[in-house]
Amino acid sequence: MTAFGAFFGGFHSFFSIWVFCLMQIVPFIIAFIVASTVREDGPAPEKTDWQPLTISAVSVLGGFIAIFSAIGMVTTPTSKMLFRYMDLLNQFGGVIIGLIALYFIGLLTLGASSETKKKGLLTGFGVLLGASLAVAYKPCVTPTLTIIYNINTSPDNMMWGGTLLVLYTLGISAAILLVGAPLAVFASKAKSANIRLYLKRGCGALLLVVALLMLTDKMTIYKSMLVEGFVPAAEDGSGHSHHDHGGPQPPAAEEGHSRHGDMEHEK
Amino acid sequence: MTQNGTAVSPQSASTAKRRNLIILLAALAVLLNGAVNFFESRKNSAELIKLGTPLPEFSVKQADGNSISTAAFKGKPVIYYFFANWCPCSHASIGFVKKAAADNAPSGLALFSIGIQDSASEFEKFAQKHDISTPVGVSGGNDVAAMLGIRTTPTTLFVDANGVVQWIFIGKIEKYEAIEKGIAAITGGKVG
Repeated sequence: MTAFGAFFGGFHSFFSIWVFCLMQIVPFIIAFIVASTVREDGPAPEKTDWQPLTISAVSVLGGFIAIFSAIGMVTTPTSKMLFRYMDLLNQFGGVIIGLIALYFIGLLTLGASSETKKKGLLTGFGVLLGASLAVAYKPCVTPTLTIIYNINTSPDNMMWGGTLLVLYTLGISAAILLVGAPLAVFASKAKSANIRLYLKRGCGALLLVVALLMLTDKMTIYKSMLVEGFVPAAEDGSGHSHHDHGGPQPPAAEEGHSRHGDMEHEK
Repeated sequence: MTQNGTAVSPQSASTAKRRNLIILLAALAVLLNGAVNFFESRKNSAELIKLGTPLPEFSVKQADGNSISTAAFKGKPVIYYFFANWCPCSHASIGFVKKAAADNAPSGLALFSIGIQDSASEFEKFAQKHDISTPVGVSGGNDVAAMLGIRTTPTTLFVDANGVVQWIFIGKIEKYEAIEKGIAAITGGKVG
């Protein structure tokens, strides 16, 4: 597994059948970026204001990459601690996302009237939202992630495995940004202030949904609906197919490396 | 006075303050409730699976309601297969794991499949669909997975007769050869 392979694996997963698994996080990250970029007051800006878009995207994706990678580096004390408090962090994340949602809906006012305060608020919200989604996200083992996880499970490979995981998540993030940024620009240019207001509130409502899913511990049910509904089953080892419907098969996995003391991998 | 950049009257400002207070108190209450539930239900602290160390002992319920413990497999090499019925990779991999158990039965190899991240009825569907005759445990509440640090399905553990984790495979098993090393590690080099 090369560094580029890890990045491309993450990027490609967004444009493959695995995007349905990524739907555990993608709509909510994009909703945050759109809601942060859209200004509901005043006329639509003639030029795109890139600052809120950049701040929100970097903070939310940064928070996501940091925590998702930290959890995935399973031999580290940080990962162990995160696992130990996973359920609690999930609840904490649900509350945080709920508050962010209510802020965008307009029910929670935090008195951030100055631009500097707003930027600070946006950055904090972004990091917390990204981190919370990383805790709630239960990834599907895509072919590339299978290899990375199995590299990661050996303490000897911690640095390399961690780097690959960061690159993989960066790849996913780049793909999310590729879709999310144009959407945010498009939404921010809506002529009617009312439309922009409803868009912002709609994004808030979407965030409220994920907050409730996390607080009620129903994220797995949401994931299972996505995967069972959209990702077709492959044949099992005995050669029998287990889903009745047709459709494309998941991409053929590369041979998974395994967690073993003498495991070798290509760098 | 302004709020989120919009001018507001003192009256609506005070309403907003009250609303904020209610929302923040509610958030705090939810958080406290979550924390209390977390610490009350926390019977086991996380003992992440680690190569070369014993698998922490745990028990799960079976479809018939009876519990089954890892202690029941003492003295036998065991493949622990963590799956979910909705997971296509779990369906795709089970055949190889079953073959491993069947072919290596003379070496005493046992298979213990454990459903996670789903409800008990779903695990039963999985077991029926794949005609699994070996024990199938259910950990729908995800307790065991959380305790061991298992986050994805399928995850396959290869544990030797001394209860030591010798090999782990995370993700979809593409071919039998992919797990032969794991089988050899727990059966003393013999692979059926």
